[in-house]
Amino acid sequence: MIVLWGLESDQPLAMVGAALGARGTPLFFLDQAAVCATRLAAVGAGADGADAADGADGAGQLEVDGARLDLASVDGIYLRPFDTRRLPAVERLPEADPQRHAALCTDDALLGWCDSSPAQVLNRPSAMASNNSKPYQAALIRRAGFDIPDTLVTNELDALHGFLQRHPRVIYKSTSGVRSIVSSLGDDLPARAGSLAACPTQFQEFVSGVDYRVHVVGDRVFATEIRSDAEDYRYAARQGKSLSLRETVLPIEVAERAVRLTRQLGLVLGGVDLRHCPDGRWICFEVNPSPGFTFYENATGQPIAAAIADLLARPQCDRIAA
Amino acid sequence: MKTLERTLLVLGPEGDPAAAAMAAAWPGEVAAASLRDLSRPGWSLVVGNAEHTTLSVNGRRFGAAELGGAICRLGWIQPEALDWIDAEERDYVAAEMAAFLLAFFDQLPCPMLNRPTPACLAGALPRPPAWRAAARLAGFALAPADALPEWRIDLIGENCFGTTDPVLIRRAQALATTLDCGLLSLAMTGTVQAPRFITAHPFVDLGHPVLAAAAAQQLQARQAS
Repeated sequence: MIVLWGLESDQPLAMVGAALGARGTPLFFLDQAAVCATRLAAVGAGADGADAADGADGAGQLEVDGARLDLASVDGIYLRPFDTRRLPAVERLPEADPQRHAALCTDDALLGWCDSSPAQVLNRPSAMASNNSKPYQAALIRRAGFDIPDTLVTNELDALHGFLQRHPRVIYKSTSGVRSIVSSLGDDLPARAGSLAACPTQFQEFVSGVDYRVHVVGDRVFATEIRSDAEDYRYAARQGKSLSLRETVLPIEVAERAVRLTRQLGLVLGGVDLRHCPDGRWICFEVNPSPGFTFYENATGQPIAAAIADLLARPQCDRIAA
Repeated sequence: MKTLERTLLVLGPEGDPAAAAMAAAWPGEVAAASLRDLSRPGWSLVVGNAEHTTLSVNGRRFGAAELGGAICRLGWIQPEALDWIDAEERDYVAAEMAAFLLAFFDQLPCPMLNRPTPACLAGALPRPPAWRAAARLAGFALAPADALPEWRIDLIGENCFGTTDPVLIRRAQALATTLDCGLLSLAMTGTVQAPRFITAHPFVDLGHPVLAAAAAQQLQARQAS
């Protein structure tokens, strides 16, 4: 049994669900929108009195609107849950509402199960968390052998001026990934200088080159070359900028390094953002632990959803540990 | 600069009693920082270049080389705690500060109790199933997850407080080693003869002078090694 956890409108979940359906793989869609009607129930207390529903050994029973699923029967789970607190059904509830509390507890229990279960989990929540701090993840990427852009995180104007003297062109973006749009630092510096002290901000040297998104699915690699005149190609359409994507093949050493990096981050599925510089270097910006791969698959036809489905449906002896 | 002259950084809530207890135990200066300091100029890190890390505490600036140790007493940042930030920006600033501190503490060259993790700036804080799985592997009998704690075991490096039972001490240390924790507090129930593990967390009560002294000793020992 494969579980897909998230919202019905989520395209990556839908594509993987379709791929699993085409294979005839038993599937359970855990609709996050039904979180208020979702419960993790105990199968039975352990011999030592411990609550077996704590998922420590993958045990437990999921109940959603009357439907039941024995968690021990789950072979794989692909999770893309939204922030439960922002779901309409939860957000409208007062802070002290028991139903809100129950929903958040269920959410947390499910995430805990995903962290501990012996099933093939794409991806373990604890492993995904490194992406919540870009400079932290950048340090891990660097230790894994990829070049990274020179990165300064500071609330000190003098430090920023020193950085600007070393790098003719600087971009800035969020440190956490919230409100993450890459922007050039230019004429707006004087206006922003006053607010710099409020909180350290991330600045990076601008590195020219060609962008690549590399989807690592287990030990398979799907590389997409991206050409755009937007600063951040993800917003090219919104900004009326050019954008083209094409399937490509990476040098074998780069592909292997991407797989190793993904694994070292504790991930089985990853969206690795690279830039190939004119001097031959391969710079890595980040590894997205929950990549929105449909954008790339729809443009290039690369069978990423099918690869994810294949990975989820692998027998236990072939599962990839991370 | 000699080891004993280096500053200890303690980042915690404003008025944290741990800062005062650590000041009594640490031979050098203690820089007691709070989140408000992060909104004062002086904080800087260059990814992969720890020597360029700087910080500012109560208006005084330090370089990373001046620190002999660091303890983070905050697990995460609650937006409500940032009352000097515009209300509509607090969620964003909380996320940004947490992201910065994770990277900052991760690459700080001095010894730390504990190194941060993405889940918790104060160290390992897995969800209850993972705690309990790790505790079971370490040899603990488990109590129901919703059991009320009756006593605790505090681990500070090799030092164990709350029990003298060598078997329990060994199990607690095995758990701490698995999770790479220098500070660990275990919530326990049951008798001395039949102890059972409920849960654990990295927030050892460093406001207690004995525990603060043990933490200071651990950091100094790690600095020397």
